[in-house]
Amino acid sequence: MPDKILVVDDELNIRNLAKMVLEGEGYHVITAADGDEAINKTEAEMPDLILMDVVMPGKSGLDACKALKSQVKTRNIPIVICTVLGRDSDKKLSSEAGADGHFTKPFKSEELITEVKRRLDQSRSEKFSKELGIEHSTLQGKKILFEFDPSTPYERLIRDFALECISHGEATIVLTKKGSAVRQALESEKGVELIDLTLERAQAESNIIQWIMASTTSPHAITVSSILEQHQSKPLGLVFDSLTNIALTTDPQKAYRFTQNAIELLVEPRITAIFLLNPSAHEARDVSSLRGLFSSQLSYGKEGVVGVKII
Amino acid sequence: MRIGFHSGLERSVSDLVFILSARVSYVCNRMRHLNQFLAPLMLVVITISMMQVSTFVLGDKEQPSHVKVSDGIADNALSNRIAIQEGEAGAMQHSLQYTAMLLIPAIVVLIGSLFWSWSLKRQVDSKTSELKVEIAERERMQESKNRLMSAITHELRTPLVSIVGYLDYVLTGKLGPLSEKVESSQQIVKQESDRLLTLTNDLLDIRRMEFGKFQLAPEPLDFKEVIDHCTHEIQPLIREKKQQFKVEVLEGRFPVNADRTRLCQALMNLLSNSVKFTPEGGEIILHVEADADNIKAQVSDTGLGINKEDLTRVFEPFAAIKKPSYIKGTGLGLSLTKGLVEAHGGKIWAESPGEGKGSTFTFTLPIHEEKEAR
Repeated sequence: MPDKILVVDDELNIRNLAKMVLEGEGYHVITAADGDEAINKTEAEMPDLILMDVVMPGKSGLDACKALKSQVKTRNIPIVICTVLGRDSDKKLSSEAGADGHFTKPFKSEELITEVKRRLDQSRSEKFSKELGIEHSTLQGKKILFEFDPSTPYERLIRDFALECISHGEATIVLTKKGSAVRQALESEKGVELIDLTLERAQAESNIIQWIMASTTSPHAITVSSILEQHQSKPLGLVFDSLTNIALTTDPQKAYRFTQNAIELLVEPRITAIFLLNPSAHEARDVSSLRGLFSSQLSYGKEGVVGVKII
Repeated sequence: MRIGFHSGLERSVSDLVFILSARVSYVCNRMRHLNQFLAPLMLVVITISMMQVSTFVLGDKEQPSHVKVSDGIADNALSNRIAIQEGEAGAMQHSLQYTAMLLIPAIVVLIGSLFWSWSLKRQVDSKTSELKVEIAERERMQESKNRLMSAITHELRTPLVSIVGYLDYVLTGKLGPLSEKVESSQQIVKQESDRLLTLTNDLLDIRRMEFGKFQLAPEPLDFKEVIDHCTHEIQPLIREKKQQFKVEVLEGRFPVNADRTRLCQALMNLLSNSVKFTPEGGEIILHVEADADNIKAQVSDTGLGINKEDLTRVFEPFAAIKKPSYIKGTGLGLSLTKGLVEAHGGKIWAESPGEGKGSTFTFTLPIHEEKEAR
């Protein structure tokens, strides 16, 4: 999934220039023409980076920056002020407004590309843990139940988790199914190993763990054990996208047993694992019994990360 | 550090305040004169009245002999008394008339002068409020002029951002290959846009200097770092014109308290001017020395030189000085350089033996020893 960049400028030509240059580098670019639109678009689309002009009709870029930095949902999105005002006092105003950088227009396309890349790389190694308000080291070795609202861009947070693991030198494996939001978010990322799971083949299997691990990419059934064998004694980041599917296609008890087994298998501290669950798709009773298996929990709703418990 | 010429606004406000206070003190003086004139007048009037009254009262004791003499023929005491009373009444009436003659004009003068002072006060009041309105009006005009300037600068820069940005992207070749002719013509567009951009920057700086809003970020540094930076930066331009470039920096340290970027800007302006105004194959010398108090930096060239009458005018913004049309500049470089040098507490001047004989620009900077070095 290409990084999403929001370009805010009241000048159509400048918006289009930045869009053209950045799209040429493979980024996904969205635009806004003033401060208010910038805030709305940011909340709706959760971009990975914002390039913000200052002097605009309506809400100024600095005000919009302050507003975004004061909201829990958007405060971790890096904002680079991009303006024709380049004095030291202007730069001071930018940093006072909470901006992460100050970039003076006019820009050369190479400068813009370098700046954007640098900012994105910088935020990549800490974005997920920053979102949770913790250090990456605190996260390592935890098995986390991730409850999400499917109407939100939750998959971006999963992507951030995967990218953070990669930038910390951890092998990253994502177990998902074809066409899922998580798969789409991660399929173009280098360094992420994606395993598509299929449910048809699973029906015949008696061992529930083996069943869920059956993969379309491999002719043989993949088990959690086989993954661990492949990545012996190396730090590992694991995303389990299919908990909801298991629970929906089998009876809740089997899903519970599977999860319990998986957590036991992944108990080693070198393994960090996230299990995705859409609580609205299940009975409250089943959800709460699954919750009971995890000491670390995380929930993502319309307001972004709404609950964090990492133990 | 805040430097600059007197602000136009401050000047106009102080002018108005001066005029206002001058007017007020003038009117007060006139009032004081009036009082000085009125007080003795009143004193005279009162004294005369008192004298009249006392003359009448004293006259009561002295007059009877006179009355008796005049009325000696009459034995009747009553008629005597009546005569005396008549005499008293006549004297009193006389003195009252006399007093009234003095008092009435005095009162008239008093009332008149009171009215006059009242009308003066009104004049002062109305003039004061007029001046207040005028001050407010001038402030408003100055404010709108400032706004206009910054708006113009912002509005000038905004299209330039697009022009320079798009052009740069086209020149990267990412939108498709460019033919040699297209590329060289686009390069000219780029140079000219860069020039326009420099102009807007210089214009902003000059404007800030005028308003005392020009800010330096001084730090203790060795002027040699500035020299190294500029001599490195100027090399491509020198090479392009196949000129000789000599740097003569005398031994020793050149400690200054200066804004590195701004000082580089000043020296670069002088060096690039020399390159610009010196024909191909000419020579440019940067000579730097220092005495106990000042650093002296000199940029000399074998270029077009300056007429004697233009030696100071070259530092004026957009000074219309005759120069070949192929030499392009913003018309603000030298006045900005002057402002920058002066902002650092230095001086700058130009020397030239005359047209076609090269020129020398010299500036000084006060030496600033760091505390640790002492």
